[in-house]
Amino acid sequence: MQITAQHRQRFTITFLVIFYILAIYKLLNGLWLFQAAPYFFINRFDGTTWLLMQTGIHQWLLNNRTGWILFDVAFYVMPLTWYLAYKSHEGAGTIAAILWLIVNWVYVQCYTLYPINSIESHIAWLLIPLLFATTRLKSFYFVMHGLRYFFLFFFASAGIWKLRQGGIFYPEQMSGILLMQHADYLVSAPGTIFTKYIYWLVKHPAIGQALYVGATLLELFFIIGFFSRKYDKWLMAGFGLFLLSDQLLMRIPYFEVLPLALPLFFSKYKEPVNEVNLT
Amino acid sequence: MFLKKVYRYNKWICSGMLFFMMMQLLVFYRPGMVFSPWFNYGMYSGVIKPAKEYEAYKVFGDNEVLAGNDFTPQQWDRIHFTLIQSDASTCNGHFYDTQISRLFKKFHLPDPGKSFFINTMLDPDMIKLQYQLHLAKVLGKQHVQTIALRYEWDGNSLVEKDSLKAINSQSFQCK
Repeated sequence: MQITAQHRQRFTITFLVIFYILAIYKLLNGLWLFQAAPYFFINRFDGTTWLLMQTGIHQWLLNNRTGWILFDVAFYVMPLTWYLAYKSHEGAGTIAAILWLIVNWVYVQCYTLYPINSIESHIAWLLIPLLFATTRLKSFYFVMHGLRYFFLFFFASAGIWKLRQGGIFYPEQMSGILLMQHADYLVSAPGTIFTKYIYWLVKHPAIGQALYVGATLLELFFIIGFFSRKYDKWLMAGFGLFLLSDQLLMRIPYFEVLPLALPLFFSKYKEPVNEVNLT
Repeated sequence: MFLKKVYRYNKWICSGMLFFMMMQLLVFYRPGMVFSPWFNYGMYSGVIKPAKEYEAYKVFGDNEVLAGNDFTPQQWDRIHFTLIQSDASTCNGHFYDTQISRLFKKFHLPDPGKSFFINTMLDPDMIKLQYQLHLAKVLGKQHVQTIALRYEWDGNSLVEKDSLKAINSQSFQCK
């Protein structure tokens, strides 16, 4: 079946639902900027960030409650604003998407300079507005597939890095990771089920390493997506497993990447033969 | 081939995709500095050996240790990640001197000025103090205290080392 305007509509609605569920989830966990109330920042080895830092905007936001609220409102309102603009007038959607892209860039760059979260996990917000800037179905189709390839690279490269850096070849790798990752938790909550479970894994490095190798193989499995779309359902299942394991074993929330998995679901639809204007 | 189809459809979209790919491959090929949105997704890829000693913070809210199981991973991150990063923030100046300024000079770009890259509003001690005040407010506690302690991995669990006195900050080394 060819991709249609209805599929794009479904894609959009699914994205908006994911975005606003994540917004509520972050609000409940104190992860909006106004809740984090940043008062210091950390440099990182990122050339783009260095350019933005020269504007001083990240310093202006420190101890600036009005600034935080302004940023939060802009970031969380933009997807809806874009949607309303897209529905209302031809061309307005594209302008709103470009504005959305700029807002996301400034927000994410600043947000991740404060000690809240890593910028890598926010990659979806830096790229997705590009997809919604498209006004023709074929453009949407091709950009969506471009994002799909990026998502495949995202995982496959993580697997390749583990081969390249040698983590996969070190038998006690997972024991080292677990102790490093959870040291604060382990000493604060001895005797809990999670602590016992982590210690058990550390003391059984073969089992821990089997999990690490399993995760690496799962990441490398995404390479298959470059050659065929047949396995996209399995890749989605693998992604779900990755998110769950990251949350339960590593206590790392990686849910912000979720929107990037959407192209895997819609990749089953074929290239449209006729051009369709979406606005 | 996908790119060929994109090229036939729209050369601008194709050029954008090619540029994105080339930048991503460059960042992937030469690890180190990144240029967002081009990152490396290592995810614990380097060799990490179990250490004999670990340093970890204990955070006290009204004299009671905050336990990890009482918080969601996100909330726990906000407590501990912020604390660890407050130590790392003391390295901002060092990072500017050794990396940012050096690279700007190397590429003959005008020096951006240190003030944009260091915390000028609060010094490191004040950052720690602000952390305690902020966390106390978030947790609804009267006061919050933090101590960094050394622990030994005895093959069974992490054991607090009695011989070492509590230290105010983790022994963070600037890179």
